[in-house]
Amino acid sequence: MSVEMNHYTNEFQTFQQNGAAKSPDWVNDVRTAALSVFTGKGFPTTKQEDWKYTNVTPIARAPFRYSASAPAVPAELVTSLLIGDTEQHLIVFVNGHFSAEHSRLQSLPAGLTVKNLIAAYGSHADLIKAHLSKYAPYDKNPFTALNTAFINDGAFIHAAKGTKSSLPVHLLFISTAAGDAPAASHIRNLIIAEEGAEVRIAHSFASAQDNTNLTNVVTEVSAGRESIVELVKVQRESEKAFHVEHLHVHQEPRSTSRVFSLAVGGAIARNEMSVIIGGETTECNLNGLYITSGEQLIDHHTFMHHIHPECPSHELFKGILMDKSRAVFNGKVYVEPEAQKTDSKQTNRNLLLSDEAVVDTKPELEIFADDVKCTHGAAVGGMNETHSFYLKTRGISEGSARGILTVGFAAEVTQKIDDPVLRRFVDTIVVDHLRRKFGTGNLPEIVHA
Amino acid sequence: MSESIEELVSQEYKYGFTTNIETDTIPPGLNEDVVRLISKKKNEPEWLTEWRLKAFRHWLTLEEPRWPNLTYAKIDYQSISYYSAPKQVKKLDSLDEVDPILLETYEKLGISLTEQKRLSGVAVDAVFDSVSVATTFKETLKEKGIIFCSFSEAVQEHPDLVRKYLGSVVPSSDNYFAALNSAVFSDGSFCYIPKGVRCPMELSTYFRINASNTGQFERTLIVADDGAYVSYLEGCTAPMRDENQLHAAVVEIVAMDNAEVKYSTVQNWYAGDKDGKGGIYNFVTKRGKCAGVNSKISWTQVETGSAITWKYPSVILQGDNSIGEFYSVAVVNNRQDADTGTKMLHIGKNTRSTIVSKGISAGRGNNTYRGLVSIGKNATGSRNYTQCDSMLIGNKCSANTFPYIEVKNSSSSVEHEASTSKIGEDQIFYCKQRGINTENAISMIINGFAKEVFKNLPMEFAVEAQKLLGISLEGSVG
Amino acid sequence: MIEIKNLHANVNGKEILKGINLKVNAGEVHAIMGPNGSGKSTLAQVLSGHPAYQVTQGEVLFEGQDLLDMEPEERAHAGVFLAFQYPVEIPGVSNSYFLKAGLNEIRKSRGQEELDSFQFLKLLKEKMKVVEMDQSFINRPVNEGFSGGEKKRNEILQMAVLEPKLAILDETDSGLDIDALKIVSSGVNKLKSPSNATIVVTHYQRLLNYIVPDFVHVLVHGRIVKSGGKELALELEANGYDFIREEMLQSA
Repeated sequence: MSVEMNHYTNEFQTFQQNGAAKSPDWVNDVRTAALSVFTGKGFPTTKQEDWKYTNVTPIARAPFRYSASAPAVPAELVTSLLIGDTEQHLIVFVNGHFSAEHSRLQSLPAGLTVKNLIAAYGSHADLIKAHLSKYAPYDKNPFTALNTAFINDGAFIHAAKGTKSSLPVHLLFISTAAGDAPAASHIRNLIIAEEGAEVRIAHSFASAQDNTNLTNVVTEVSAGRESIVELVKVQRESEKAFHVEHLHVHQEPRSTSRVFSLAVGGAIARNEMSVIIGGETTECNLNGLYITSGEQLIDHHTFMHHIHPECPSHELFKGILMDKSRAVFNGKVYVEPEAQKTDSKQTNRNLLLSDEAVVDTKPELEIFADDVKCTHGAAVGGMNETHSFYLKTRGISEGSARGILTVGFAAEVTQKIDDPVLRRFVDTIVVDHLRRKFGTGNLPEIVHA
Repeated sequence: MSESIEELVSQEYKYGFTTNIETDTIPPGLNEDVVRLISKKKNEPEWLTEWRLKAFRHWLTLEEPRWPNLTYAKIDYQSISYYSAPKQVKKLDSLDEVDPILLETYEKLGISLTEQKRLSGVAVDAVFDSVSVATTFKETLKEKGIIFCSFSEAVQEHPDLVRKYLGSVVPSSDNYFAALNSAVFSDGSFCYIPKGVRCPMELSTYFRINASNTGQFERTLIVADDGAYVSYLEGCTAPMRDENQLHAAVVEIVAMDNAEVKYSTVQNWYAGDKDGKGGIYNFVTKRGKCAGVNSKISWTQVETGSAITWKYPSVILQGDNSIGEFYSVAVVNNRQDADTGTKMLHIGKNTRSTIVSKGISAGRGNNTYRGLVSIGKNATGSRNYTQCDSMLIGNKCSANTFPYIEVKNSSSSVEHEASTSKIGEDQIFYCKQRGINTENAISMIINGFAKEVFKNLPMEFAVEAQKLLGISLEGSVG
Repeated sequence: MIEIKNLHANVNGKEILKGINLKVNAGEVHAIMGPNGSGKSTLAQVLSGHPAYQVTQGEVLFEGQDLLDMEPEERAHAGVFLAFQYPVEIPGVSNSYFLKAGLNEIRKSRGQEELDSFQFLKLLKEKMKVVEMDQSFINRPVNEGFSGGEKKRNEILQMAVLEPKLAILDETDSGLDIDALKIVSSGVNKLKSPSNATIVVTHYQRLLNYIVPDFVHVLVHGRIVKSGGKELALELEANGYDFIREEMLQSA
């Protein structure tokens, strides 16, 4: 066994002695099985097709440690990460550990449960057993196996039949330095929307300092019949951090999912988003925006699995690249023979603002049904000349035009966020981030049609 | 139009006959002695024998690629005969000396080797199993300084040119099948267009596999010197046999400053029967290098045959302002598998590439487009446009699209668009309402779908290709 | 105000303008008419400095300055405005932000003080009245989701705010119904003054019923082949462009 695998085997033993004690036996069995998958596979290499453009050696090499408890983070930090002035349902985790101190869960509407997974084992044991690790297979992806081996805490959301929550639930994950060794958090979230429920979720990740943490997340979402789930992920961890998440959405008939991913943080960030369209006439919208600078690498791998007939899926991912950064997009749409009348559209557009930035994009279609309409498109290029000419004829300088058009480029995808509160939340972060990167306050706020 | 459709729907694979001719075939099996024997039979110079052996030794270290989206029985490389030639050892002085049985074979294939019968616009090099049996219009071309002959002849007559360019675009170590070809290649065509010469006629190679249990490993090398132009056509057929036969060819093209090469293929190897029995395994490496400034290489292919197709005609855009093009129609029916596409490697500044790929899947066919567009750091101001459309006929087939796009500078732009859809029911209905039957309607619609590619084929080929498309899809509608 | 001398221009290596000569004085309205593909829009784009067009010969003086030597934004600062035939959409960026950015850069270049948000909004609302535009457009993204007529009206609003010396209207009438055409034209007319000039590029005479030109020029194959007063437009409407071609043939 390699040095790296030895490290994780030792880590697992330490973890078993403290963290793991809080959960049921069956979870422990899953953990042990997942660990052996992980140590068998090891970290992925660029020789594997799924990891061709993303080298995770820096993650494999760093001796990340599991910490049994989390350091304190200041209240001001938490406040600065909230969704504007809006009142919200907030659950906070620090290095993967639930923080009751910072969470605000007093005013949840009837039918909506938001708590940490460890607490939920007591109240929702059967539900958890029925869903946990059912959608995220750990035999394929080593990071999912690693996460599963270390399943401990995370957010648990349950929206009972017909529950409609008007305010978004904010899942806030803060990573912070803990001792000398870089800290790892293996966060496990479970979101269950029962029949006819409607939930909106902000799924956000931030760092307390300029810290080198590993945040390895697996999130499983079960969208029941005719439910609506909107999940907006905001990943703005430190540019030294490593972030990996595998998000699995399983959709029942006539449900609607709206997933958005904003990724601006991390030295290496990998987002895998798989949607299983598990019932007829379900709808899926999967969108995202990544902004990379410095030497960041942000990778999105999406998988849209059409199993049943008559389902539309829409996918738009846009990227803005600066400096020596890199972005990877791999979008697969897979249409099973039974999924007739699938209507699927996927687009990936990348704006290169630097000659040293690199984009690798690979939109894939695998179609086994004939009565379908599937399209995909990908584009990579610099600033659009016609657009910038228009601005210049109005007296706007080259530099300002660049900023304005970059904001416009981003806005085209943030407008896909359905919930106005969440959309504003993302828009503000995007513009603030671009202002910082462009080194000017002189960028417009985003407005939508 | 409707007449030709009627004709085509009533046809089966009409090139499936076998020619009975005495052959010189070496026993199956592959080792260094076989490589030496092939080289000796062809009276090759020492350096070429060594080149083959080096390739063979490298091949032994490689594994057959498993990444393509193809399903086929394991190939037993020791059960194949690597050399088969019609017995006709003495060198021919004129076409009149070609064995009449062979001439007849090519007549049956619609390729007359008798010059007076040929359309004056096309010169043909006919390759029968492992050897070139005839090359037409050599003299006419010679007047312009154009060299067009079999590869074997080029090795004897123009060794310096062959040595300079052989392996310069597809190195013998390039991939599994290219290494195998480099070790055992038998014959093929060689073409050199000197500086400033515009080749006055289409050059064409016609490949025919006849013998059973043999593989065909031809090698084509085309060099267009500064300011030269040539349009090159390739056709292929094989008899209907129950066992699978291996075809692993290599085509190399070099275009120097301001040169242009247009390479068109209509690939109609035997595809196997309805149940997937027999057919050619076609593993081909085709690559062009735009070595000079303002050079252009254009690939046009119509792929209707073969049980298995593995083929990615590519262009290395090295010279500034060079242009690469790839136009492809690939049809799979019955149990055919095709994994085909292109690579456009932008290295020079202001390089341009266009990819138009039309995939048609029917029966239980499995069609995959696989492509790479790579824009290097120094390839500033470069452009690529890719359009990839797939059409599905019936619900037991599949269509896949795997484009890889890698961009490393901000002054370039890449645009990729792809779509997959069913053949238009309302279009079929419209045709039927006008009295056209379903199969003819499909034929018409398919031809319209592939028109962008056909228009890049030389006239004669385009007609042939349209007919072929109909034949390949015959019986695809239940 | 502007003097165009022997202007030649290419796009993608193809010569479109083959020697244009034109002089426009302050207070004048000039109409440039011509069949499709005659080079009308190219002239408009070249004057505002579109990077896709290369000027190969000739010069353009704008108030004595070499216009061709200036960047597009410098031309805007100098007072050249182009109303686009196909205005560009900019998602996410509000109309007001966009216009304020332009106006303030123009003011800055002229040594004028920049307007603050309050002053700008006041100005914008006044100008919106001129083109009869609803105030909801202030915060809508630039041209996104606008109808054809709304886009053209938005172009005229921008013109009203930026107050150019020379306004070039490129096929502003295309795609407009009669009501929108009237509103747009009346906006243009209200903005007319003795100190500014307008070049109206159009295929049809229709627009010229509302924006009455002092001079009409006919552009064919990249050259102005005939000039006259507003009656020339009516003549073209009645006889089509063929009669010009015939005249050209006869005189040749």
